[in-house]
Formats: sequence, C-alpha cells, structure tokens
Amino acid sequence: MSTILYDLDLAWRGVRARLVQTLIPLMVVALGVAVAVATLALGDGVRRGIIQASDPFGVLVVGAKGDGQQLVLNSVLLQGLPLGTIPASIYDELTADPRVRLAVPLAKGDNIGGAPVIGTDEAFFQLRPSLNAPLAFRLSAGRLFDADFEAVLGSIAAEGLGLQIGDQFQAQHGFERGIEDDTHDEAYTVVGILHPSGTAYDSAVYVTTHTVWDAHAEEEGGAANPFTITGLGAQTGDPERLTSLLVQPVGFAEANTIWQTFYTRTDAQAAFPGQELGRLFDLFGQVQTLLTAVGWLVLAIALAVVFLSAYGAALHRRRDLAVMRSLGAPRRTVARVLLFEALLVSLGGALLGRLLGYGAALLVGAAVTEGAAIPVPVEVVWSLEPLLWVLPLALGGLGGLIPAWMAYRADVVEGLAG
Amino acid sequence: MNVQLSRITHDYRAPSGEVRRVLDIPAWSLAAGAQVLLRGVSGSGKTTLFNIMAGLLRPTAGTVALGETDLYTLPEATRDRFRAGNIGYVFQNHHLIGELTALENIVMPLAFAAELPRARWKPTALELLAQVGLADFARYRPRQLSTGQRLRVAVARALANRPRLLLADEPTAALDPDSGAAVVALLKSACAERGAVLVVASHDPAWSGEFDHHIDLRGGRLVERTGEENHVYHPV
Repeated sequence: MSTILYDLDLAWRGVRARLVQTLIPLMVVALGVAVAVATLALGDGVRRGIIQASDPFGVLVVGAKGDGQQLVLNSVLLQGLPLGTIPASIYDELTADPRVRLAVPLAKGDNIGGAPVIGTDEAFFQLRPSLNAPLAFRLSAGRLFDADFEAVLGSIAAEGLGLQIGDQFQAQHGFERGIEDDTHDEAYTVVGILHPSGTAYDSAVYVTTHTVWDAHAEEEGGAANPFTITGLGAQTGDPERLTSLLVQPVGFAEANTIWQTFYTRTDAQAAFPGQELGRLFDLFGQVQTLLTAVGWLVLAIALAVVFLSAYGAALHRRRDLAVMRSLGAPRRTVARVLLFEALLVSLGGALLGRLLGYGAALLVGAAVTEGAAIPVPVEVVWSLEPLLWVLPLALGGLGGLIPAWMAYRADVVEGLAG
Repeated sequence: MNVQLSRITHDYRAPSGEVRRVLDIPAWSLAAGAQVLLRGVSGSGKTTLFNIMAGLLRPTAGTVALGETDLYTLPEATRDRFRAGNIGYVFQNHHLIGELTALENIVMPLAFAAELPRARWKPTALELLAQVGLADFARYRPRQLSTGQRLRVAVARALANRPRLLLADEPTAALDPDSGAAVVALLKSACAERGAVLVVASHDPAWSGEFDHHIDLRGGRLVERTGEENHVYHPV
C-alpha cells in the first residue's frame, strides 16, 4: 500500500513539474466535462424551472386561434407576444360552466418600465399549484385592488421599479418599454405587493381588467394606438377583450371536453400547458442531445490529448524512469507512475470541468431568471455524477495505458545512456 | 559480502550486424571491504561491466554473485528489490531526478527497497545528506545545486540502503581536482565504515595513488597493472 502511495506521490510531483504540458490535456478534459455538465445541469434546471413556473396556472389556457405553444408561453411564462385577443364573453361563458372550477382573465397590452401590466380579477389570486397547496400569489404588503387604476405588484416588479405602497406611476402602451410619448395619462396607485411566487408573474403588475380596457377605450382605432395587431380591441373595435384565460376545470375528464369544445370553435382555442411545454421540452431535449454529443466529442479529443501528453512524458522522462529502475523500482512501478499521472490529469480535468460546468450553468441560469423571471434552479445532476467521474478517469486510464506499457517495456541501460 | 564474477562475456551487435565481444572476464573476485580503482579509456567497457554487476544488464554468458546470491538467476522483480537493498550506483552524470528535491532523490531507493518503515525514510535521508555535508540543501532541486553538490547527493542516494556493493562510474569526471579528491575520500570512508565493496571507474590516472588496488580494463578484459590478463583479484 505504501508503495502505491509512493508511486502516486511521484506521479503528482511529475504532474506538478510539467505544469504547462499537464495543463493542456487537463483543460481539454475539463472543457469536455464542462460542456456535458453545463448542458445537463442547465437543461435539467430549465425544465424544472418551467414546470415550477407553470405549476399554478391551471390545466388549460384559452386564447386566440394560432400556435398553441405561443399561447401557452405567453400566458404562462410571459414569453413572446400574445396571439391576439378573445371576446370577454368567453370568460362569462366559462365562469358559468359547471365543468370549470376557476377561470382567470388576462388582459395585456401595457407595461411600466418593461414590467407587463396585466388586467385580471381576484380569481388570479386564488390560483394554486394543486387543490391542497397554498395560494401561489399571496400579499406581502398592502391589499388586493378593489378599484380601477389600483395596482398590485409582483415581488420582482416592486423591487425593479422601486415602487412602494401608495406610490403612483403611469403605464406605457405596448408589451415592452417604449418611448415616453406612449405613456397613458391615468395615474396608477400601488395598493399591494406580492410575495415571490417563483414564476414569471413575479415581474408583472396587476390591475383590474377594466383598468386595461378603460386605458385603451378612448384610443381604439386612433392613430396613437401602438398595438394595432395584437392589442385589445384591435380586431373588432370592441374594447372588452381578453388576451387569454387560465382555466382550472373540476377534473381531467372536464378538461378534455372543454378542450374539445374549443377545438371546433372559430373564435378561440384551448391548449394544455403540459402538452405544449412537453413539446418545448422535446425541442430542448434535441438541443441538449446535440450539446451533450459535443461534450462527448471533446472528451474523445481529450483522450487523444491525454495520450499524446502521457506519451510525451514517457519519452521526455525516459532517463528518469531508467534511473528509477536502476535504483530498484520494478517495471510495474514506473508503469504505474505514468498511469497515475494520466489519471491525475483526468481527475483534475473532471474537477475543473465540474466547476466550470456548474459555474456556467449558474451564470446562464441567473441570466435567464433575470431576463425572463423564470427560475432556473441549477443543482448537481446526481444521476449523471457517477458517469461524469468514471468517464474522464477511464479516459485517463486509456490514454495512459500505452505510455505506461512503453515504460514497462523500456530497457534500463538504453534509458540511462539516452 | 564477496562479489564474484565468473566466465562473464558480453556481446554487442553492431549496426552492421557484426557481433562484437565487449567484455570477456573469466573470473573476478572481490572480498568484502575491497576498494578498487577500475581504469580504462572511454569505450573500454567500464559502464557495461558496472551495469552487469548492478544487475541491470544480463551478460551474454556467465554469473555475477553477491555473497550467495546469483543475480541473474533471480526473477527480475526480486533482482530489482535485491539491487535496491544491496547495490549502490553513482552514475557518471549523477542522474538525479530533476523534479525531486535532494532529500526526495535520496528517499527514492529507500522507498523501492521497502526495508525501512515509511516514517524512517526522511530521517534516514536527512542523516545521509548531513554525512555528505549538505544538511542545509535538503529542499534544493538538482538544478539549484553545483556539480559537486549534485554528485554528493548522488553518493548519498547510492549509500541510502547501506549497500554491500557500491559502484561509482567516473564520479569525478566533471569536478575540479579538490572536489574530486573530496568525493573519492567520501566514497572510500563511507564504504570502509559499512564494509562495502567499492569499485570506482575512472580514466583519470590522478586517483591511482588513492587506491591500493587498481585494475585496467582493456578491450573488454581485466588486466592487472603487471600486464597479466584475467587476474583473479583478492584484496589483502
């Protein structure tokens, strides 16, 4: 045992002594591991983040006809533009429908400092991930709105805008920050601030649907209206329109029948968020497979680099290895020292790769969270950890095998003479 | 421990394919404590003879016995271990491992011989460094040492396992006369203290006066200074 430890000690010194030659294969191994780790951890985090962010929003989304995925992404994750609008009467239909437990109206079209202003009603604040789960959107300060032009702020919106209870602000037309001339005249008053919910809606500002309708009523058809395609009332001249509806049916069977009902209608469609996000995940999966393949490819290149490095070390240290043999080291010792060196390089690469990979995943995850308000929890992918240790080490072992064999077979006298 | 060479021949195949006999020693016996100067010009076969005596190069024919142990009948791994524990070798170019400190270079044969517990390796190596006057240079790497200091580390390394045979191949070749004399004196005293056989190879006639016994190696044959070939050497 002490002999093996001593061999390991010699290998470590060899690695340290040839730092530059060691760093190149180490970095290549680290790069391969980092790509694989970042891809897998980020993919996993984005999946879980989207699931978490979409959790409270019900089983069905009802909105304008078009791409169901766009409808879900806009309604659930606040990503992209809305498809269009639907009559507010559909909301009345659904609230009266015995198959529906909860229907939540969403009317979009304005923003304040980039934070979307969402017209809704008190039903929104009754959303919860499941029947027994706590409410998803709870007040941390103030109260809910009970009059038009009263606003409740999501936690990120409140922090980002620097607004507090009692503060007033003016909203702008459009879904993103625009020019100052697009500002509505009406003053909105902050009456409540929500706890963080871990959803994209933390970056939103909530008002009554009538607030949104009122803010646009006098401008419909006017030249100043900045959202003539997707804006409220743009298609019909009717200001009382909604962007979409979040629907929680009383059961799965009812969810299916509601979906079928809308399937045959021409004024709206229903989409299952789970199904649409599943399609999105499939797309993620393909990208992830591609990136993971790149990681494996880099690891394959690393195998060649580790081999070349170990081969170079065997040639460079031919005399030293011969001296070791002359001092009594058996053949297996010199072979083991070279093999250990290759393994140490791979181990270093595996460690560094993890740091880089998880570091990159955390940075990208934070950027996604910052930009889209979708939480991206980056965690250690335990299911892949054994593979991500075994593979680089196997790679190091494989790369060091031939040089170790060369050292094993080397002639001592020739080595001393060389 | 006696060292006994019997009917040693060693052939070398030249690139032309011609087989050349580089050593031909019918018998050579060295009693314990013998200190011998082996003289010979470059290419006379001194290093080849040392490699054979050290168990590093199997001769074409013949035996090398250290005490009762016939070196080349041992399995290779056993011979390696035997060499680590019984034979010290000071190379012509010192051959210290550059990435190790002076101390670590001396620890190496102790580790390979595995006769001392690990905890004793460093203290023993430090004692040896002190013996060769380099107690303050334990953490120095070979490139930080002078040629003479490197040679002294090499001597300490060769003495690490209290060898019963110490071979020194041209140890003073790169040294000035004073440093060379100090190294030869060190080798002689260390071997005398341990009762080890010392064979120093040198083509420098200056050392003749330092050894009571010297033998020339000419054309692969041992020649006593009287000119009698294949002299069976017995020290007094």
